[in-house]
Amino acid sequence: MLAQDDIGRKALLSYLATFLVCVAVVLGISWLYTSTQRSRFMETGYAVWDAKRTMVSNCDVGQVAVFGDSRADSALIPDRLKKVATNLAVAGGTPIENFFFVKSVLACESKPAIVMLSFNPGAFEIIQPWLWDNSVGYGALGWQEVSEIRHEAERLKDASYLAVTPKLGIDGIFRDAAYSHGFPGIYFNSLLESRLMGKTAMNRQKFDEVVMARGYPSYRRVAQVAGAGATKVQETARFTPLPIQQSYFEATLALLDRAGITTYFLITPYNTTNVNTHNQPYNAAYMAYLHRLDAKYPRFQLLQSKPPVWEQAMFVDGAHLSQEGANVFSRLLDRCIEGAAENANLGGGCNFDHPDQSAKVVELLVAKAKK
Amino acid sequence: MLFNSYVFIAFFLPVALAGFFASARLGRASAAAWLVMASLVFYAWWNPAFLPILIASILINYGMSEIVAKSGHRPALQSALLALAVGLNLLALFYYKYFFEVAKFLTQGVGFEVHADPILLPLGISFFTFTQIGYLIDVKQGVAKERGFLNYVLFVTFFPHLIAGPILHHREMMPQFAEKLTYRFSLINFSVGLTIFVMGLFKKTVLADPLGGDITAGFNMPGDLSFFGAWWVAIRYSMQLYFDFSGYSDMAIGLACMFNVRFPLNFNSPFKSQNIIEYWQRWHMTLTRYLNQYLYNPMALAVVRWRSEHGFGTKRANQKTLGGFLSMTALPTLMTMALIGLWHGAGFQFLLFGLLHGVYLTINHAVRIFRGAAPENPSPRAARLSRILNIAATYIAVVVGLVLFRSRSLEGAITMYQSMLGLHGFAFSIGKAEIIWVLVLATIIWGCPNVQQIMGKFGPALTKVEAFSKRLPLIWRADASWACAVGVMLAISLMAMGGTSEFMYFQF
Repeated sequence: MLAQDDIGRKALLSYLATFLVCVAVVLGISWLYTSTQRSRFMETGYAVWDAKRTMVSNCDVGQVAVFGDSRADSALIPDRLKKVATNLAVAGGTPIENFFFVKSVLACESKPAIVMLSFNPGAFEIIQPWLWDNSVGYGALGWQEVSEIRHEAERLKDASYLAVTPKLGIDGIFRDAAYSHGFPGIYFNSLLESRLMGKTAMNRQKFDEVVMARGYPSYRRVAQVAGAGATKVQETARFTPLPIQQSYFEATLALLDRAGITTYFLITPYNTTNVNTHNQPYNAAYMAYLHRLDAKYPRFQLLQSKPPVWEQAMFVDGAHLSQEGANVFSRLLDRCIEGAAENANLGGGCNFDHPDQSAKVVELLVAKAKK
Repeated sequence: MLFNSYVFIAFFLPVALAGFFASARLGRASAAAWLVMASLVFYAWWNPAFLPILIASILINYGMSEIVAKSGHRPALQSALLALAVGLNLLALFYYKYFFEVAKFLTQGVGFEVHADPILLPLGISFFTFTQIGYLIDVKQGVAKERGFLNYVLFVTFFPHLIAGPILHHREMMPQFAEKLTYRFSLINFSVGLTIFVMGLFKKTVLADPLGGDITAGFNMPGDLSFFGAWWVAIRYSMQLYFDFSGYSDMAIGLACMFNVRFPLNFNSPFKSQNIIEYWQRWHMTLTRYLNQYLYNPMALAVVRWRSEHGFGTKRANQKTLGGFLSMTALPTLMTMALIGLWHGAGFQFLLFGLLHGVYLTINHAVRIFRGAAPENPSPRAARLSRILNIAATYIAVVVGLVLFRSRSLEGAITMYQSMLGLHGFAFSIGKAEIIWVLVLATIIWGCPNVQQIMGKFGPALTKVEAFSKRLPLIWRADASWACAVGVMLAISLMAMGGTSEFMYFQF
């Protein structure tokens, strides 16, 4: 009990009411700012997303649209392809959010002739916090989409979805509500780091760069993170895709199939130093899973029969290709697509590890790139 | 559950408060039972597996305390029962907190193989164990008068103090739980409590947590730090710990206040201390009080008795002799501080942290005893300068000690000290913005009143603090400007809360 009780009830109620109003006003202003001015304070990753989303909303995806994760994001330089292509793969992307991106693209009048999907096996096995920190937090997915995902997870009895705790530190339906409605707490660290608006010029430049490069953001070499980007797979681990990821991946394939679009699955190069590369049973199970889908969906094909394995020199870290590596990979892919156009069906014929098709070509292209 | 989590602020606290005052209409027992249940939910939220440990600890200690109370007519048996009860508590604490580290040391350091797997430390075990040991001792001494079971359980589990203190004394808590008015909603207590809680939340989420990243990196690789880098990391850590613990202490007091309960003060601007003795009277005050009461004083008394029995003097003049000083002051101080160090953890760095502070305190006492009184009536300028120098020297001594406290190992601490001595170069690479931010924090620490001074008029804590300054009378009032200032603090804290860390004292 407090000794002093000389403040009237009215004054205290007025104090509490003013307090609540001030909380609401500050939160409201912050909410408005963080929902409308993200490019002023967000990290450059946001500008990359924003550029890709703008291309989608402008229905500017060309003849080949690539969807996938950060490995695909780093591996494909659309300019290196003869066909007009767009790299719409996103950092931390999994089949879930890519289903919605594909859906948006298919809503356009001019649809791409070819869609490429590219996910590392880990993308099927977990739900990344990035689904909220990036896809929802950046505004690409809203309440309707996350509710749909949650209901699908409940239908599949996949508990992994509800358990994920992104940066905000909450899970379940409250996490979905906070992220999809852009609760300003999501952006607090970015606001602090940018001192409210210190990233404007940097983000504008990055946005323009990515739009110019048709979705390709140049990955820079990062010191001391050789393992970054690599999903840690133990040598004894088995490939176990989550029901929710499988469901959305198949929904994507069905959607593309119905739209009459040829869909290729592309496996970006594995790094020789990556532990995933050496787990043969794991990779075999991954390929078997993809082959099953290849057989199920007539318009879906695997471009490769096994994951290509490249030397560390072509990567910026343990998983992402450098610009040089991306250059080589994109040229190889171009040949592959052109070949596909001629042969109509590749049937996994683009083996980037094949000595004739890969090693020598890579060698030549590296030499050329260096010149 | 963390005080700085959305689930606590948006759901747990409103439900706990509403349930408490609503159930109070049915009677005090139902309100107390509600609060006990809420506290157990709060405790179990982090890891339900630890709930049985807490419940078992309460049941055993309460049972033992009743047996101890009823055996008062046989003092020898009573003492034996007390020793057994205290021993059981210490055994449990040893098992969960120290066994693995000791086994590791015996296996790796001495070569005596002891098999042990890492044991997850039950949250708050040091706090609820110490609280209950204190109660047992007081029951034996006949000091504990209020011994109802429900009030006892509430005293131990009351969620604002359960996980990281303050370490409560039953004499200050049990009467409050027995008081009728505690169970009646008070708008002023709620307003004052809410204001203090928000100030604490702000300190934790906005001032303490953002300092964390570089500190972790620095202490992980202390060999990479230059002279300036090492001091920078150490100073930032001292500020992070300061605002973290200060924020937690404010939040605990604020929460208790909302339930019409007053806690003892646990944190009173310790970096404003002019010497180490004063520092320990301001930092983790209830731990210092507890160890003084149950460890230092009995130890000092035992030494005095021994000296008296063996014909050595025990008067103030005898304290000025080397033997008198070493036995009556230095020995109990060093032993108490070594135990304070070990209370924080099992590593050697914690023991050394305690011993270092023991040495600081011994020197401080020696100066007081042997140097005599300070010169009288110094000029105001000299007094101010002396005050500033004393505060600076105390702070530097504390920062040096905190290196041991934060380092992952003794080797890490030694490497950090090498860097702080400049053995790894003198490169300077601290950004302007970082310097400005640390200066802002320093201004808050040394140039502003603390929360208790701001709110002190309303007596939210059991301990009174002296006013900050007549020139800067920053006293809370229930007016619009304060409402807005606190509202802005809450709004920013709510935004900053995402992904904030647990309180540093949770690990103890």
